[in-house]
Amino acid sequence: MADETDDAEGKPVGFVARLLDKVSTRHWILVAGAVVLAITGLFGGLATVHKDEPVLPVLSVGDEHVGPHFSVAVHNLELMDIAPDYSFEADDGNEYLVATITVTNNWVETTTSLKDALALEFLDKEHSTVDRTFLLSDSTPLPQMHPRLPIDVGVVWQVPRGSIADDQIVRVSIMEATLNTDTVLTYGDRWDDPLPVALVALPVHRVADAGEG
Amino acid sequence: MRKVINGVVAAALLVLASLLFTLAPSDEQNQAPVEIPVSIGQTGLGRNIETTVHDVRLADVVTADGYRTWTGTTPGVWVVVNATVANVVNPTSLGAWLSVDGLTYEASTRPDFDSLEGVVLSPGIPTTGFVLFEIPRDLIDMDVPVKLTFAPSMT
Repeated sequence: MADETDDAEGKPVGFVARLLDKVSTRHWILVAGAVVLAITGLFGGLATVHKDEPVLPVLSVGDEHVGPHFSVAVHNLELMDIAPDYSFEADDGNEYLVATITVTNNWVETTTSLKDALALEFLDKEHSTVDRTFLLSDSTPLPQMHPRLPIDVGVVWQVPRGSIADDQIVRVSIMEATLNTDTVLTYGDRWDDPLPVALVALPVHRVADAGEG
Repeated sequence: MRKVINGVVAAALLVLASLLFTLAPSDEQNQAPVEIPVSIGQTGLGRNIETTVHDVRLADVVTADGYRTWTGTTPGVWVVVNATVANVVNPTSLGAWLSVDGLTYEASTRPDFDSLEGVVLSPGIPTTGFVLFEIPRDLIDMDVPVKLTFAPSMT
């Protein structure tokens, strides 16, 4: 209907037709590019977008972070050559950093997946991963976290020797994962994609050889 | 009239088929383990496991002195399950779970080889021992059913 009206009056269609005839395809491409640039300009141009890092709450030593999977409180950080009840030395060029934490499993099933619950903020991905965990009361490795039962756990990292000085303040990230549910026949329910949700700043103390030797 | 009857019968068959479809077991149900419910003192015989639970007790501290001397404390309470277990077909380890109030507790690995969870079972050779569970103390005061599950475990 509108076309018929335009045809009848002979103005809009004629104007567009004349414009299409006069302006070459190359210029139309330039115009389209300019329009795209103008629109991107409205959203900050072609500069790399910097997402604002979320500001994480900084907890005091011993304060508990309560998450859907774990509640975690970090009590201290110690540097040592041989970890408690563990006679193996760290890899060449590394030493052990041991955090003492209290953790409660807030989920409905027993789990041993504590390695993703903490990370060292200042280290690269290779070193920030937890090396092992053990139960403080009897040194059981890979301790089970049973639902609603708080336990004291040692969390061990291997860090480059000399990267942390005695009494240096180190920030430990408390991570929180997301529950993905699936059938038992495939993957079952699992906690994935851990992200930092809180920080704890602690002084690191060097202790004498704590292992079995 | 015949067309009407045919239509009604066809509709009824479709409704019946829909009902049957909703009642059919899912893939997960089809392949899930078959539970053999038994009471304490009775023997449950599965495809590759035979289990008899003799008694269940509570303890604040447990001590084991077989493989190593170990004393286990807990912030909660220990559930000590005495049982006799054997495989039927081929040797496996034992998996054990305690379910209460919507929570599932795996048998404790802290006793290591001293508990039934730490040994390799043999077909036709019953092994008697204990399985331990750590649970919060407030759960023992709850008047709710508790389910113990045993299964052959390949891990």
